[in-house]
Amino acid sequence: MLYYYIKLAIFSLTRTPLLSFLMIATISVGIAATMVTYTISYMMNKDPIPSKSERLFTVHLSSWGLDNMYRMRDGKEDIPIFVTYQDAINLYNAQKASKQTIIGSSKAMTRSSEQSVNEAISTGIRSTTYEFFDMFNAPFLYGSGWSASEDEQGAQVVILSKQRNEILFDGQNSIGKEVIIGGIVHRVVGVFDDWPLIPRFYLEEYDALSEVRDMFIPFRTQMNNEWVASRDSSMFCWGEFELSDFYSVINSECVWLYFWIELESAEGRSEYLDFVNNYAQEQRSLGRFQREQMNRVLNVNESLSRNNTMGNESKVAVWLAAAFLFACLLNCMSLMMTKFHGKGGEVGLRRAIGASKQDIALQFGLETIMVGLIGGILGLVLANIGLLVTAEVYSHLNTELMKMNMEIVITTLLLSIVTSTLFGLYPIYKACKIEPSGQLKSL
Amino acid sequence: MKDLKPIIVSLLRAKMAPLLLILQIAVTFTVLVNSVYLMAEKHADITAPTGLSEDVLFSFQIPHRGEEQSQKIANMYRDLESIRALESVAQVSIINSMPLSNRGGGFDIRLDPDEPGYVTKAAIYTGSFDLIDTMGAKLIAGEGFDLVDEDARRDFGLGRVTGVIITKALAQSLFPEDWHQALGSTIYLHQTPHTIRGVVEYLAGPWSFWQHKKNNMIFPTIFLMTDITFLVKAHEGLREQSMKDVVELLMQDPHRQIDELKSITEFKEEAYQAQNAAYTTLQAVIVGLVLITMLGVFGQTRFSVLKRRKHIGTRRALGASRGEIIRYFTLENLLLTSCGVFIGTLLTILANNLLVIHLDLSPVPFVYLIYGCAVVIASGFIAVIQPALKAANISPAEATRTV
Repeated sequence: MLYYYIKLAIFSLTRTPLLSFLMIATISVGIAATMVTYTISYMMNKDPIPSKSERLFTVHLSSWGLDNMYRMRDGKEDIPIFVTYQDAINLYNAQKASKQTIIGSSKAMTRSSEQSVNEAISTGIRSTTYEFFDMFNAPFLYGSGWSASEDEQGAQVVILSKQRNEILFDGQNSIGKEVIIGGIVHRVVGVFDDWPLIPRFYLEEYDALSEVRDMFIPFRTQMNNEWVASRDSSMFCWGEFELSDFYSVINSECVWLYFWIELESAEGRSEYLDFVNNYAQEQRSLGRFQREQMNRVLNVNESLSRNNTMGNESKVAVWLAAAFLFACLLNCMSLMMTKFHGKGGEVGLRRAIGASKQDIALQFGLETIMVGLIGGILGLVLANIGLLVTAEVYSHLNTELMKMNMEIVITTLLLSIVTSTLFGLYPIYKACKIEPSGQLKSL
Repeated sequence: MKDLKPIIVSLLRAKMAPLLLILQIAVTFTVLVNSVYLMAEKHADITAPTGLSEDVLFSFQIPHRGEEQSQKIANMYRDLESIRALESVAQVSIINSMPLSNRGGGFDIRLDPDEPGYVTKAAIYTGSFDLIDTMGAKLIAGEGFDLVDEDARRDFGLGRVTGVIITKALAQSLFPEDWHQALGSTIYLHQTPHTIRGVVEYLAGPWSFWQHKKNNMIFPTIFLMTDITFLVKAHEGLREQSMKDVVELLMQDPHRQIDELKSITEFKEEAYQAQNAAYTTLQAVIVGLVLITMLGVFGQTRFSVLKRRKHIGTRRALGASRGEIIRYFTLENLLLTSCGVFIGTLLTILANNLLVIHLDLSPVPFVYLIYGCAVVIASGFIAVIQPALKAANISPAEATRTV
């Protein structure tokens, strides 16, 4: 019986090709528009590190001066998302969390030891501690992170991104090879695999959708070489400081380092916050931290929503697209009414020879589902084309944002079928109500 | 207008189909007005005047050379001279950070040093005394800096008494009643006073996304950091040439590094990439919406023509002219779109209020609603033409068939 209805549905669809095409086209366009915006927004908003997002925290301190408020935000005082060098080192050395890391940055001319000086390119460098790689699940193609002892000594070691390894060493296993950073020889200890971490939650808002940096070196090494922070990362200062003087910066109240911790469980947070507040009290007795204390320990998702990494634009876009889909579905509903109205004669005949109202509903229901399914499949194709175009237009964003996963593909098909069936209910109801007698007269 | 009554009666009888169309038009109208408005805002943002001679400017960075500070400064001035001597170069200045480069620094600004908060924030540009000239910014009040004001040092030189030049936008936010008051007034950065010495008409800030991006200040202090950024103004049409000349000149010493060699056009493109992309997307949404609505009107009218073949035939047989039939359908369409637009206006105001409250957007100006009405009614009209003509072609004989 079902098979017969499916056959009927296909027959009915092919009999009015223009109408069927218009129905399927409107649904698929609406679905495509919605899914393109939804995919981007979904990829941006999804938990970047589900296994750990409840246990990874960043620490923000109220280190600003009595007469210098850091800034106002939503009518309230706000504290920086970075910490000073001295606080980063103190918190790191306290080792109160199961893992903690300092994240800094620098910039230098870099090349492999085989390249000539002229081939050196200016490179953004990330400096951090050895725990970083394990804390943030960094994937390695070759080698691994550096060791704790190399960290302590400030060894001249470097980890390359996959892209940079392609450029410098043709993608070969380059462990043990030499890279010259700012004139100093560094030994390659690891090469990252592709690391599509979206958003790159450990960084500030405007950096969060960028690719991983091309070189990672130990934080201690940066300090030993007296490399100041790169100018493309943020630094906020108050009090006495001279930005061009390395020692002036690290002894100043300038904030520029991210501090992240990993705890055994999410419950450990209050204990760690107590520790941070105690630390702040200690510093206060030494003459620092004079403002009202509002230190924070935020987990991954809290820190992301505070930074508003996603921006409002993607949210507006999803709403616009959803409204667009709604308009498309209304349009499709009109078309279906036209279609079923034209089939009055057929319904009358079928009813007269014994089909019940349920049979008619099932027949038209299947036809609607089929329209939804084809619309969904076509919508999926259009959405993927749309994402390709979007990736082209939004070339500054990470291309990983523009990829659908299985979950989204299924959602798309379901959305298409469910919405078109929902909007088909009324036309079907109308069709079922057709009285056989009235129709048969005019046949 | 005698047609109006039968139209309303027949619409009320059909109920569902016209209601669907009205709803569709209302939703379309809402999305249309909101997205056109978003688009207009983006457009204004992208095309806002930068106050820079965009066609001839470029910049690059080189690290300082020399051990001692005096040596570094001497080398810097020597480079400045040799670049200035290039034939393709009109003018060259040193600047702390480039406009639209997403890198820079800024301060809170107070009019009273003991004020607890601040009036507004502004970014700073600091560098050679002739920076304003090189940028191409237009001084509209007060005066620029002189050579005696220039100094090269390792700090911002907040305490130096040189005065400051600010943008008109900053003057306006400091003195909302009359920005001319700004000239000669004193502003405080941290606790240090600075007298406003001049006002420039426009100047783009370092960050394209910053809410205070039009608030900028200029100081004549060459701030020595790790690298020096040179802002070069080439002669008209010679920018490419000039960029090559500079590289050639500096690379005479093969150990030098030139970084971030970019024209201001490139900076601008990168800075507005997101806005440009959003702009393109909104355009696509608007075109799609208008098409779908037209399709809806088209389908709906065809449907009602199909349903009423016999009525139309009867009317024709009773003496209605083709013009009258066409008028009937266009009038019906006008009625439907007007209802749609009316509901749409209410929805737009509602949706816009939500956007304003939850997403910090500014409210849609009234004129957009009027434009929206015009576009929706016009596209509805275009869509109705074909089915209406088709209806007019129905022959009176239709009335006699298969009753």
